[in-house]
Amino acid sequence: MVLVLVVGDMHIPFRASGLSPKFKKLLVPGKIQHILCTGNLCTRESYDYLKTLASDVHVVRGDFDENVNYPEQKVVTVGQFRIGMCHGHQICPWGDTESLAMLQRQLNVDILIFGHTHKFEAYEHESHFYINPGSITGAFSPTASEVIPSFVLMDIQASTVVTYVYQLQANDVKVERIEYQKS
Amino acid sequence: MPVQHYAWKPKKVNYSLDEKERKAKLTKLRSNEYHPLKPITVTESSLVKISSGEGHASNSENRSTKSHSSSGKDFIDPLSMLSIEDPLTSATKVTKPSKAVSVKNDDEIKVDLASSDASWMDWKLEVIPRHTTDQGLANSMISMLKSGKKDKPGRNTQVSSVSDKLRDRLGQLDEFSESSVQEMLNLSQQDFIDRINSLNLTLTDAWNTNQKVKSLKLTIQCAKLLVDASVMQFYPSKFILVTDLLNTFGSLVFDRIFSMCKGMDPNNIIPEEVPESAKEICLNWILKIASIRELLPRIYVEASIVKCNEFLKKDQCKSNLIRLNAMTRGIGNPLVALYARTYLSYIGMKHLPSCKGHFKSCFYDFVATYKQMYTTPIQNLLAHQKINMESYLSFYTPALQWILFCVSHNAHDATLTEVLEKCNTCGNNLVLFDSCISSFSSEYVAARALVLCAAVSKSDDKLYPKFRVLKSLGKKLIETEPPSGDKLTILNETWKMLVKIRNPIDYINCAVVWVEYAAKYFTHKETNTVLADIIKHMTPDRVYEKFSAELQTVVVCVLTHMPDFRSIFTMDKFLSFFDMFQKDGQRVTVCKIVAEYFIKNQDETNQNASDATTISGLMYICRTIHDSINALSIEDDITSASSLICGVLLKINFGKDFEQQLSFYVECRASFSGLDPVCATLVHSVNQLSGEVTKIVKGKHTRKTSAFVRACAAYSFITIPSLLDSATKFGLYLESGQIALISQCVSQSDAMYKAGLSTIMDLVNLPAKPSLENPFLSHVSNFLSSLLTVPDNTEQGVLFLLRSFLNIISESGSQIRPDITCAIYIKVLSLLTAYSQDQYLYHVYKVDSNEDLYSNDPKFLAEISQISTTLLNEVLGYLGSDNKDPKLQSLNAFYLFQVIIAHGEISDEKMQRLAVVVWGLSQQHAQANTKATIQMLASLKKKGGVYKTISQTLQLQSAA
Amino acid sequence: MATIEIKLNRPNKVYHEGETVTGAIIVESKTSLAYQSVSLIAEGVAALTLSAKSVGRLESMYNSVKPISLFGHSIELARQGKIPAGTKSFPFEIPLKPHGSIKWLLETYRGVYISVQYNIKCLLKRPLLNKDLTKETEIYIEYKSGDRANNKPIKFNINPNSIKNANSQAEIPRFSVRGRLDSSVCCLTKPMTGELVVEASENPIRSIELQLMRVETVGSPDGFAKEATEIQNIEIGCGDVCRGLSIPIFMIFPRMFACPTVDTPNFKIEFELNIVIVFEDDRMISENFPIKLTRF
Repeated sequence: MVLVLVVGDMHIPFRASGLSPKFKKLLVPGKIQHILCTGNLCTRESYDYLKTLASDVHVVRGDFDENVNYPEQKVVTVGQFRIGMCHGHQICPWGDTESLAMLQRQLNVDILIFGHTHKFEAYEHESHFYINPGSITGAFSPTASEVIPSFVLMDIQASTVVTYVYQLQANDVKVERIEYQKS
Repeated sequence: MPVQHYAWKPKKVNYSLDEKERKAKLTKLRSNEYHPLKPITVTESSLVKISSGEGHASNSENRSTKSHSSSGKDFIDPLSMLSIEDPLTSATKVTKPSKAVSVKNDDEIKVDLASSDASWMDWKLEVIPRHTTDQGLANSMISMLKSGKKDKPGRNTQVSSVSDKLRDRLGQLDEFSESSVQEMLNLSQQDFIDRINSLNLTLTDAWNTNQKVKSLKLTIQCAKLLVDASVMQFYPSKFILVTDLLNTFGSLVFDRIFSMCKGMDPNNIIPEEVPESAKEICLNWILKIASIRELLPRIYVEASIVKCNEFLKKDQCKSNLIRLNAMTRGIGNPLVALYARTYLSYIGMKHLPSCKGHFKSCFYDFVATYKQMYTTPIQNLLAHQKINMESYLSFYTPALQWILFCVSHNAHDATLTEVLEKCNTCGNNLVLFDSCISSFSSEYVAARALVLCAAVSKSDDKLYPKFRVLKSLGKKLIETEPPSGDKLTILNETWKMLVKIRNPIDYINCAVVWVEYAAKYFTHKETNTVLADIIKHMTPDRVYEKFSAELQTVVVCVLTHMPDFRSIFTMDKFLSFFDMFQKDGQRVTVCKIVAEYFIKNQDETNQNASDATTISGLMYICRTIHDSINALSIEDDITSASSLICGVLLKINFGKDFEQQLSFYVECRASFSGLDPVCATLVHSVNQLSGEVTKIVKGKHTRKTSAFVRACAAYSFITIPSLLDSATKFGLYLESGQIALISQCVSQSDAMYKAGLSTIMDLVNLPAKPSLENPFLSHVSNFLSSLLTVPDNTEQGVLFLLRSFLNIISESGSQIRPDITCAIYIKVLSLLTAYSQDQYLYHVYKVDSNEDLYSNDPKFLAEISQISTTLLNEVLGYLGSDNKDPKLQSLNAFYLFQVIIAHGEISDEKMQRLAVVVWGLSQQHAQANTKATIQMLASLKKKGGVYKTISQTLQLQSAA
Repeated sequence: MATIEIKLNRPNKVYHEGETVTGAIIVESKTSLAYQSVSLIAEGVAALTLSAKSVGRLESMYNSVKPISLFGHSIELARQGKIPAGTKSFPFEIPLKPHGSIKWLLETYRGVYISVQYNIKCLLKRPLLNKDLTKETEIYIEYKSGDRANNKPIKFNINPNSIKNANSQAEIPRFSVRGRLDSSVCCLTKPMTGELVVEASENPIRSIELQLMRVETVGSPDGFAKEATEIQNIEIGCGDVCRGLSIPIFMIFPRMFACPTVDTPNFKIEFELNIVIVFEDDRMISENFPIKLTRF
């Protein structure tokens, strides 16, 4: 069992001062093996925070990241899965399934992780899996001032990924799950 | 090969249907269902892990100790055998409780022993740097102490000659002038260290080669060195070096005799069970040492082996210690005598920590000889060596502190009181008070602080300065809080004395401690008074210039102990204090410290400042930092200044008072215009503010709120142009445009986008870190996607912003690489497709975008279609041209092919033909990414229908 | 090669009159070894010598200064035999009894002019042309009973007035030292104790020392020679000691070099203690205390 945390679009400190304590309580160090971050951490402090949760942290660059050394795209292999990452502001239009599929083919990955819209999504398309963890801080998005804070946890076991999404709705953590089987 | 003219037909998509389908596949978890971060399961599983891990660790530990005892020596060393059964180590593991109880007594003793050695080491490390004249020397000594006795034995035949030389030099000291004395002091100190080093080696060497008498002689010789106290500055360090060697000798003798007593506990020697032969050897050592002619070496060497007396008779060790203690009265030089007592206390602490009376008599004996220091011979000596009484006494304090530490260790309060009483009875007792206060437990001192204060204030400080005692007292009181009733009186009493200190160095050194006391236990009122007094003392003759480090410490003390910034800035003297940091650099440094503390503090308490006092204080701090930056500042300074100012600004929050918040940002912009990152942060913050307001009104703006969000937009619009970095500028325009739209300020949003467009060409040549990426293209994509939400301004015509954008691109000429232009056009094709849907992929709440504006108006669709077709043919033109870079050409062709499949209406025959042609273009230079090609074909096949047909055609074509 | 060794059953080799010394002679050889006899000789002798100056002055005494035999014992442990390769031990016993006219065995003592020593010597006689094997060891005799030490303290006051042999009292700087010796009859095995207080001293003091002296008298009816020598010197104060503070007097008697006070017709061994005060200006003041040493 490998636990992969997928987070992004924190926008700390400009759009949010920090994570909700409810989320912080869930994210304890030593539990998670890998962290994939879709970008817009904005400052170094957020990266350092992720580092405290797991030593293996991968970040792609968002449109407001101070650190210009993060790559725009990245491929990480976890177990049997090739996972592609991209912040998603480069996709036109944002979050468009077909456009994402093009990126998925280009990176040749099983799972594509993206963000930017601050809207959680996890779905299978043409037998590939797409995840948008949303914004963990609930920062305002390019299209909305009200955003539900969310993040995603992937539990990777052999050729199966069980994806859990954690959403903060009305100050309560709601969890949903979806399973994806590699064909 | 010229390519035929094709028209673009967009595919119709129903986004909301997709979304519904996807949502249905998610399973909601009930609160009791498992998920990996579930707190209960987390602890359970981790518990299992920990316990198994620990079990493993203890196993391996056991194994390692076993192997340790079996390997190495062919006999079982009783000491190491004991260590296996050592109650300490077994106690740290998880053991049966019954065993732990049975060994408890032993356990306590061992803890005591271990702690006595540790405290001795601490003491040594503290003394050395203070009592060597040279930094390097102190370091070499410390490293020597730490490396201990592990050095390999080596020979040194020149021992005696070195010693002669040393004696000569020390003897001749008087004849040198001041400066050369210093130099000689260093030289001879180094000589001395070398000598002790070589003696140490020779000692173990002689011992190992069975020359026991020689090792005794070496030890005596070494102890004799302590007779000479002519270089007083070095005496404490010398003492440490020599006693280290004595300890080595002592344990060599003890271990040898102990090795003859099989199976005995070194902490509980039973004389009746010691073999006669061991006793005989022991007695021989004792008698030999008892016949050492000179007093001081005899005391030291006897003390070093005093534990061996236990082999002969129970409790002999104790009586001998008491006797040795009495013998120190025969030492004429009070300094030498005191250090001899220090060693005896150490030995007592090591072997007989429970025997308390011994320590006390060490101290009382010293008190009895105390008057000696003021006698003519000693005064003459000091005058001769040009040492004043104060520094002379400072050679005593480490020893006194150690002895008093031993006295107070686990001591009853009554004992301490008795000791203090004793100090009270002699004159010039400040040095005694100082040592008592520094050595006694802070709880004890705190409880009697008031009495001590009174005693100190009564004492005469001609010979030993009061400020040292006050400093020690303050330090203890910071550790432990005095009774609440006494706190203020103590502060008042102390400050009365402090005020009288003339020498600014002494004053500030002491004041630093007491500021902390005030800040820790009192409100801003008292602290403010204290600060005021410091300012008063430091201002005359601008003495503060010399003490900026101390003054900085004062600021830090206040910051650490008064976490409430509101009360810090309420103190009118806090900012006045900054006037004493005259040099620009200093003041900025201190301001930066304040800013750092503020940020850290607010982070920890999760608070935001909003009161006027705090804010005006912080603004002063930030302005000072800001004003320190000028054209000549280095990058690092600019970065750190900006990040501190940003950090502070982000922590200032007026809560729901958004208007005040905005006006605060206006003020900030005026103050910090010189720093780009600060301006950027301000724009971000104002955007956030606007978003927040929109969120609160749930999109239904009143007149007031809509005016407010427009003001926010205006703020951003005015602020952004002053920034230098074009990427930041563009990003902020985009963000401000988006937030303006979210806040329903459509025309402001338009303005932002237009402004953004005007800067877009500055981004063309942005450097890309990974060379494959093109930041310009990312920015453009982001911009294009953003346009989907922006409704057309009816006065400006259909898709005005997109058209302006396309005009800029097409008019840019050679500024943009042709392949990039091509990629941009293909992207616009995707966007146009999105524009032609009945329902757009995303909207801004409460803002009608084009689909509502036009609701499938054929004119609109025709416009889109016309632009698309123009672009498509531009792209085809590029793809068909003879290009310098066929690889980029085929990449773009493949990209276009994908876009056709993704966004084109493929059921249309013309589009199918287009797809095939473009495929052909992508393959023609054999440059295409084969993996992606295969993937593409596979995915087409999977899609079925028309796509499958196409894929077959394409496959044929590639095969051909 | 063969080795011979005398092994005593008492590791400290201390014996008393009337006791029996038991032990064994251990012969170790790698080959078998033939011998003619194995014998043991024990003897105790008080040896007297005269200092060079005494010899010249008292020629007549010369004759009387010959060693006095205190004790003698010889035994043959084995006669003509062969020792097989390995270790062979010959146990022995020697009763400790004084010689004819000697009333008791004196304690072992090593002085300058007088020494009392007890030796055991063994001899393994080998057949012709083979080297004999010998070995010698010393045993120490101590009294079993005798005078007891007392606890009568001696108080003393040293000041310019108390000094007898000073040429001119006026030259001596003013000082005053008082103190106490816990006893004038001291037990050898216990430290000599007491205390000393420097009450005043005009001149700074350099050191305060305890000097243990032996006084050996060798003589006959015709005359005697008396020599005093230092046994040990122990510093109890170094430097200008604090006035009015009691400094302990503490000294352990050295083994062998001190013994219970002896008074025989032919020789005497007596002891004295000097308290020596040395001033910075090298002036020295010494106060003498005759003491009697006993073992009990």
